[in-house]
Amino acid sequence: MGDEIEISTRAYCKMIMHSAKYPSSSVNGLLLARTDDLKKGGKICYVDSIPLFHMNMGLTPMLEVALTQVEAEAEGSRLALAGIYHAHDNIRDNHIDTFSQKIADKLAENQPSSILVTIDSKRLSQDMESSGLIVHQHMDGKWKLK
Amino acid sequence: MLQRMSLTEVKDILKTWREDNSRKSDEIIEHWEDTIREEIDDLGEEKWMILEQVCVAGFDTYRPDVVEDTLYLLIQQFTPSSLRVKRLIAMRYEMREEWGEALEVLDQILEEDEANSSARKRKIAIYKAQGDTSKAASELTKYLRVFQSDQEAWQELCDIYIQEQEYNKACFCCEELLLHNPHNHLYHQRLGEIRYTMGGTDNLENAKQYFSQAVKMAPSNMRALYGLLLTCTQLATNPKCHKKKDYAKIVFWASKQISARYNNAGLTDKQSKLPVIEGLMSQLDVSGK
Repeated sequence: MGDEIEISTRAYCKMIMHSAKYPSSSVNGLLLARTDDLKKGGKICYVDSIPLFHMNMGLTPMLEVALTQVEAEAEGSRLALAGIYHAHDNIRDNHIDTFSQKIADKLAENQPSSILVTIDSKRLSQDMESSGLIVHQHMDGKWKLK
Repeated sequence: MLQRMSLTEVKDILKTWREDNSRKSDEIIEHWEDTIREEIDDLGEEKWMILEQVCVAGFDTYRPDVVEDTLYLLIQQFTPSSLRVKRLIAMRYEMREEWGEALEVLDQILEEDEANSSARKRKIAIYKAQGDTSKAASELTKYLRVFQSDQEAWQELCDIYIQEQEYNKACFCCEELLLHNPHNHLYHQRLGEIRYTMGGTDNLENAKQYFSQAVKMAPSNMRALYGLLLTCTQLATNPKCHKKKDYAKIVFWASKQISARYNNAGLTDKQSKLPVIEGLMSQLDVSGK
C-alpha cells in the first residue's frame, strides 16, 4: 500500500551531485513534490530537490530558516515540501540519524506521505546498477521501507 | 582537465596546498599524472614531501597504483623504520580497510614515540571510519588532554558531539576554540547555533549574545543575522518574557539588515520581503517600534 513514488531526473541528479561534491561530508536537503499529486495520492512525482547543508549538520537555526524559505518558494510554484534526503560521510553508514528522523517526522506532520531518502554511498559509482537510494515512506504513522 | 603547467608552477601550487593543509586530492593526482610522474628527479629538495603529498592524495581518492608508485620510492629512500613512512604504511592498510593491521602499525609508532600526534590522529580516524564514534570521542578527549592547542582536534570533537547530540560537551569544545581565537566570528556564530539547538530561555539568551558578537565582528555574516532574528523572536514570543520591546527592536533591526543584504545582492524590494522575516514578525505581533 502507500503511494507510488517517482523521483524526477532533476531531483535525482541534484541529490547525487550534491553528495558527490562533498564526498567527505554528510549532506542533506529537501524534496519537493507537486501539490496536486500529493492531494490526489496514487502516484507522487518528486520533481525537485533542494540541497541544504554539508557542514554544521545537526544544528537547528539555519534549518528552520531553510525550511521556511523553501516552503514559501515552493508554494509559489504549486509545489510542496514532501521529503528529505541525506547522506553520511562514512561510506558504509546507512542508518537514519536522529536529526534526519526528526526533520522527517516534522515534515510528515504537515505532509502525511512524506519520504525519507538515504543515499547509499556504497552504491554510488561511475557505472551504477541501481539508483543508490533507500526510500522510507510515511504511512499510517510509521516509516516503511519502499 | 588541467592545462599543461610547468613543473615550477606545479611545485608552487603543491607547496601552497601543503602549507594550507588543503584537501585537493583529485587535483594532486591529476598533477601527478600530467606533470610530476615523468619529472620526479627534477623536483629537487621538495621531492620527498611531494611524494608524500601525492601518496596521501592517492589514499584519499583510492588510487592503489599511485600509492604503490610513491610509497615504493619513499620506502627505498627512508626505509620502513622511519616513523613518517610507517604512518603511510598504516594509511595504506586503512585504504584497504584492514583496520587491525593499521592499528598494529600505529601502535608500533606510538611505542617508539609516545608523543607522535599524527599516529594518534590516524587511530582516531580509524575509529571514526569504523563507525565507532564513542571510541573516537574518548580517544580524541585523551589526545586533547595532551595536545590542548590542537584546534582541528577541538573542531573534530565538537562535530562528533553535535552528531551524538551531546550539546553541552559540544559547547565546551567550541568555547575552547573561542579561547584560542576570540576574534573569529564563525566560532561565535557556531556557539550561538549550538545554544539555540539546545533550547530553553537561558540557552537562547546565551545564543543571542553569541550571535550579537558575531554580527558585531562581521556585519555580513548572514547566519549570525538570521540566528539573531530567530533567537530574539523566540525570546519575545515567550509568554514569560519581560523584555519584549527590547527583543522586538533587535528583531526589527536584524530583519532590516537581512533585507538590505538581499537588496545589495540584486533582489527587488518585493523579493526582499522574505517569508522568514514576515512570518517571524507576524508572530511577534509588533509593528517594530
